[in-house]
Amino acid sequence: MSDAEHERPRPIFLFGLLIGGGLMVQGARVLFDSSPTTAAWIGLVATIVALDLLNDGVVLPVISVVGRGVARVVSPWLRAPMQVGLIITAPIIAVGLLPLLGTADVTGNPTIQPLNYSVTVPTAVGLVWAPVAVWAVVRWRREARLETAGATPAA
Amino acid sequence: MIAARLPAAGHPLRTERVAAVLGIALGISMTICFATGILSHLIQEPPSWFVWGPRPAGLYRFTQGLHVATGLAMIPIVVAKLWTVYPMLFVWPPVQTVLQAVERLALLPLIGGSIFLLVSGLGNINIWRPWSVDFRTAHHAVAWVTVGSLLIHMGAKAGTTLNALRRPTTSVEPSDTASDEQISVASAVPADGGLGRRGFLATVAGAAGAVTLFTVGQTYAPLRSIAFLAPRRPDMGPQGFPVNRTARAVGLTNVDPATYRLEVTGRGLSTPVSFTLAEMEAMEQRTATLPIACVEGWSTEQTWTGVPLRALLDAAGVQEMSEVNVVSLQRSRRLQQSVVNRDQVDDLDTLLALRVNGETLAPDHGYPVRLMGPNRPGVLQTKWLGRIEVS
Repeated sequence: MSDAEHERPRPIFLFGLLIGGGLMVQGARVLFDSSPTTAAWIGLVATIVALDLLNDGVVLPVISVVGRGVARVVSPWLRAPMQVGLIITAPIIAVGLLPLLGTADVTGNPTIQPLNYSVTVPTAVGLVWAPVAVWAVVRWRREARLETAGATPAA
Repeated sequence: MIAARLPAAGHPLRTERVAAVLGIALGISMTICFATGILSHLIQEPPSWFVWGPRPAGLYRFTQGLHVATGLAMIPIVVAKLWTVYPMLFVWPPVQTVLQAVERLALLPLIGGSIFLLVSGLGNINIWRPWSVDFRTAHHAVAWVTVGSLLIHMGAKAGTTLNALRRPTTSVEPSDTASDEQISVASAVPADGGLGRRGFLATVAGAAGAVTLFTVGQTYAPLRSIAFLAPRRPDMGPQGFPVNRTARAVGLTNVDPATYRLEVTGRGLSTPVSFTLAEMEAMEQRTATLPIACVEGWSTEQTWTGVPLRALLDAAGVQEMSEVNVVSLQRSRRLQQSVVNRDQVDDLDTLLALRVNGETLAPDHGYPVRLMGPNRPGVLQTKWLGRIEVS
């Protein structure tokens, strides 16, 4: 790609910039029109920046480290099942975390978070890992068969 | 092309093609969330040009259920997308042109806003709101900003996305020295026992599906028994369904039926007209099976019995009206009143409900009288009614 191309914006970018910029201004207007205090406004922006930093500085590095750990430590036959199990389990825990912590207890409304989440969240995780475990066993047996066949090619 | 390309990060799943597919999934999901969210906002605070009719009765139930379900399903997709493009954060120099700087600057509100929308939405459905700004205002404002920055991002990445999707999916094992071309077409098939591109994308879709499966029972009855993560169960609560605000929370646990009066005031009425509970019970009753659909995404259908609002206004002598405002006995201002437009008033299933499923309303469900109309958000189904203002 030439430098000239690199400098020249595509029309679709300018279109996105125009419409997207307008929508962003509308968002700011909604916030200002609601007349929150300056502290509240700053608090909201600070929260967004903090979430950004938390994502870039903690969440993604942790995911990357766990991913690399699985790739390096876990046997090849277990690698894909492990990845599938972890990728599906993470959002389940994320969604189940507030109910698990019982954050609605302070509301005095027993119809919020009404289940025994210390049972239901592990149940959901178990329902994910059960088929993953079966899949891992199938892969392990296939791997073992291939190794056996490789060891005795004449057979 | 003005945007930087995904560098050769050395990871077989961090490809432009994976980023493109996840980006498209996110674009669709965010559009659904944005459209349904703005609709919900318009219904709750209608401008003069917007009229929300009473039919079909379950439309709001569907749109708001879709809003929350899509938002929850987006969680793994957002994280997967951000993980895929994470190496872009460390590209040096970070920008080479002014336009590229604009595109990258838009990533801050896009990423921060997306995460805020998911976290605040997740908090809200659990009635966990640690924000100093009102949830609805913050969620609404940040949604505009986020979708705006998404459009800028999409405009910048449109060429990259299309190119990544057009390339053939040959199995080329990437390495740190591979070219961009090689990186972007790599890993359709796993080579190290781990997930390949298709497996990874399928797993992310599976994660979104699992989250949906374990939560959507809060609005979709057939999956109720496996709603393991849902913060509400539509079959749990007084009289068999949940409440958002209890009678205790608003100090209305002991409304005396003997002294209770529902007052009608306003346009065309020189003096207020009031009805006792006995008078309302003596009026012709109407029964309707209507959904109660909460903005937090749970919903349920119950059979309500009471006096049609239209009939009560007729009995009060109201000749003309454009809308009515129903006001609760509660003193706290939050959810104290709601507007019922002309179309909704004229729908005979818009009830001043006295009973649910044949039983007198429980205090938590708004005893002695609550509004229950078709196709209205739960927050507008005002409970513990004390006054109707005609305008």
